[in-house]
Amino acid sequence: MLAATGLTKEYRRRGEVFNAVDGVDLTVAKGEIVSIVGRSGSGKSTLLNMLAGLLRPTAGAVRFDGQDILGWRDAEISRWRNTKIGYMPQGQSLLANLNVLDNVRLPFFLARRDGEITEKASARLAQVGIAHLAANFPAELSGGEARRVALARALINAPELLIADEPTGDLDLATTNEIMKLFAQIAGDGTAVLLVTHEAEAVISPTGARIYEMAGGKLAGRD
Amino acid sequence: MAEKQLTSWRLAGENLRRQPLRVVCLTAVAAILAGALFGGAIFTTGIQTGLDVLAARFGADLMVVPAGNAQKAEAVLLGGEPNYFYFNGDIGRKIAQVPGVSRVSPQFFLTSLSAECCDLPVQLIAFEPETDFVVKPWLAALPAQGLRDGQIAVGCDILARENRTVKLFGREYPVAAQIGKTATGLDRSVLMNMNTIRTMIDHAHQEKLHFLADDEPAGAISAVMVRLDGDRSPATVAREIRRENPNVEVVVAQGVVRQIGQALRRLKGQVFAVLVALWVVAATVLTAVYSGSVNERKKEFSVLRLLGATRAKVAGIVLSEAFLTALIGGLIGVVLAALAVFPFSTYIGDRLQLPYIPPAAAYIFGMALFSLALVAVAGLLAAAYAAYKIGRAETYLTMRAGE
Ligand SMILES: Nc1ncnc2c1ncn2[C@@H]1O[C@H](COP(=O)(O)OP(=O)(O)OP(=O)(O)O)[C@@H](O)[C@H]1O
Ligand SMILES: [Mg+2]
Repeated sequence: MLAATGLTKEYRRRGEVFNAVDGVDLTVAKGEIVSIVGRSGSGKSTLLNMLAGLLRPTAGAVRFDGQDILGWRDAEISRWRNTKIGYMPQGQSLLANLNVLDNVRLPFFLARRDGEITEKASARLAQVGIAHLAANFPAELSGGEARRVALARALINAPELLIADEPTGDLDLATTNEIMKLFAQIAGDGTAVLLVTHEAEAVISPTGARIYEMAGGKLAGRD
Repeated sequence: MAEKQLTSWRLAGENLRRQPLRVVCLTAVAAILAGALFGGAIFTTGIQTGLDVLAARFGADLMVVPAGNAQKAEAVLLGGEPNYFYFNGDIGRKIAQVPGVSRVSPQFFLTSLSAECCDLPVQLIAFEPETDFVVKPWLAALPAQGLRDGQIAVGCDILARENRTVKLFGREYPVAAQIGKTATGLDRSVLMNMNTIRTMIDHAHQEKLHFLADDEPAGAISAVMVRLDGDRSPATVAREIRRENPNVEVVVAQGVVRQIGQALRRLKGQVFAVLVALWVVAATVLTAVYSGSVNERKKEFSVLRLLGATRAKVAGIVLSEAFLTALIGGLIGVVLAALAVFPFSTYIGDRLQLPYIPPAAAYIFGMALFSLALVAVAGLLAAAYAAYKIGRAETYLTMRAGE
């Protein structure tokens, strides 16, 4: 489904050129869980941004169902990201001005669509276990609750691929475990999951995940 | 019931609702811009209208008055202090002889006692119906014979009593007509014919009142209104009149109108300069605020992009916010300006010695819409640079920890 080849991002820092992501090859198939583990600064977020078509790579290609997404115009790639990709960004990413329900509904309205979404949004909130928080605002949520909202939001348009950037970054072990279970469930429903975690979290990657290790921009399989 | 959609407008609205301080600042700027534009335009247009009315109403080409009284005479016309001054009635006949003069008509000025009809003394103006060519057009609404003996006509600022009379020197006089607003001294004047004022003075004598005019033997008058036949310039005729009558002074109507015209142009220039300065400063401030807020809201915009919003959509939200704040601020500004201009403009006009007549409702309405539109466009333009930055930036999209 998703296939990246030779993906490279070059950055310049104080005149010094370095590759934040360096020749990464990666494929994610339907219903599969892929987990990337790496230390801070190893290039994980940069890689995910390029895979989602948000960041233009210096070299390499990203294909989705065989199509080169880098050749698409902004409208096409935005539409694709909106419908096929669910993205859970790193850190707190809820819009503070909208309540939980509206945060979850938001992606539905970012592209032209017919139909209703509120019931589906409520169902997603129930799926991640926070139906009772629908009317709350992000400032009133715990870190774990906020992550669940971000997850429900990423799932609202029934994406084919869920990309999650350190979804359990600063959560305790028990909460991390619960969220990992959700990912396993989602993958079980047929949605591919691409997961990025810190080394510390690696131990609790969902079972059945294909695990990669990232260091210095390079990706290596771990067996 | 349809569910509540999350349109760009709604997102913009929620963002504004939760940023009260920013909204207050931005609407304040928009309010100042719209208010200054609207208020300035209404005020200067009102004075322009006043000047047009004045030029049209000023039926005489020249006004001849006793030497040393030209300023007082202008005050009578333009609405300064009520005044009186006299010379001999013979002077009218002499002026009629001067080449270039086609018609002359004497007028007689008096001031009422204060607190009789009005808060302040009012200007009494008597004209000679047989020769008059100045007052008649103002009284066009009256039947053919015009003002009859004993009747008066009053300016728009003079309030008649309930029985439509005005009390002058202890007696009531019926009001036959009220003259529309002229923004000149006429608004606070009482008009009547010579017979009426003579009777009025006789009555006053019975009350043991004495007048300056009593000293002029052969019928005192205050001014001779002169119409020219058009062959010779007003200045030339005025010089001629002064040469033959050493103790008179001549007010040239064109001169008065021209003076006010110049004052108006100066005022317009000042208003324009203030407006330009305001708009330049505000445009800079708005542009800075909007593009500054893009940096501050980088994260919010990158989240929207991550969720599949196009660049155009994100820019649309920013522009919607700008448009909404400009519109709300603009409305507030127009309303405040209206509250400032409408009650006080006549007073300000008086202080500046400029005639002010409120412009037509259609003009006021149109100007309000125009001010709003211009402020909205300014808001959009100021935010356009911010929107452009959002569309162009790639780097801000990378969401990294600690940002
Ligand atoms: N726009 C940029 N300009 C220059 N350097 C950048 C830029 N974005 C990222 N980098 C650098 O690229 C490297 C990879 O960054 P990235 O955010 O992908 O790391 P990460 O693996 O996600 O780290 P973390 O676990 O802390 O989120 C880092 O050294 C970072 O400083
Ligand atoms: Mg990262």
